[in-house]
Amino acid sequence: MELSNTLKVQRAIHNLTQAELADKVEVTRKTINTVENGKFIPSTVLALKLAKTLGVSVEELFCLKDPIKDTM
Amino acid sequence: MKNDTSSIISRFHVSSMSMALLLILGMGAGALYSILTGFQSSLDSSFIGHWAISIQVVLVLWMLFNFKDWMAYYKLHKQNNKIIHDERFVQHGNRAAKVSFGFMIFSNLALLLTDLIAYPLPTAFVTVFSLVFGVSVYLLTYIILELKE
Repeated sequence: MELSNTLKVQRAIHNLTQAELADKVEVTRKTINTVENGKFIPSTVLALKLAKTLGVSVEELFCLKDPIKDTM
Repeated sequence: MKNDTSSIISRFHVSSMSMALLLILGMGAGALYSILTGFQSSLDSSFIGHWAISIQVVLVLWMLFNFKDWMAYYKLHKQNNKIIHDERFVQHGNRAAKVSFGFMIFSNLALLLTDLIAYPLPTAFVTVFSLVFGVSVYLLTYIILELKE
């Protein structure tokens, strides 16, 4: 199971740059970039902070991608 | 060269780790050379002296080259900037520790087999080699992870 996210979409909805979002959740811009690209899996605290800042639930922001379902 | 907080922190981590790597490699190579050639005879030899001076020159140049970034990082630290505790850096440290631990066990086994089958090795050499190898792998893995992402 892979973790996918809608961070880029939510960020665009709120008209925020990666750097602005990073400042709000107190991480580096690179961390936001790696989370968006699926290279870095954030901690629960960071996931909650991101969800709170973007005004969505964690489930809306992150979800588990089923590779078997996706190929069907 | 970018001067935003993220870039300063990233450069600080890479430059500090690479400086530590140089230091460990310099000290380790000197210590291993001393053990292998005999402590008393090699200590006064010009080779070790030249090696130590070369490493120190590289370290000073490296420090001068990165001084601006370290000062910028120190300012961030003084301002209690929370970004310097970014969890990605912690994860890099954890991953590097796991990799270096694995490599240390592997190097110990390789040295043990060499000692048993091929060539008897001094205990001091095995200890110093494992430590230098482990720490070097840790630092190198950290640098690679930081530069890769």
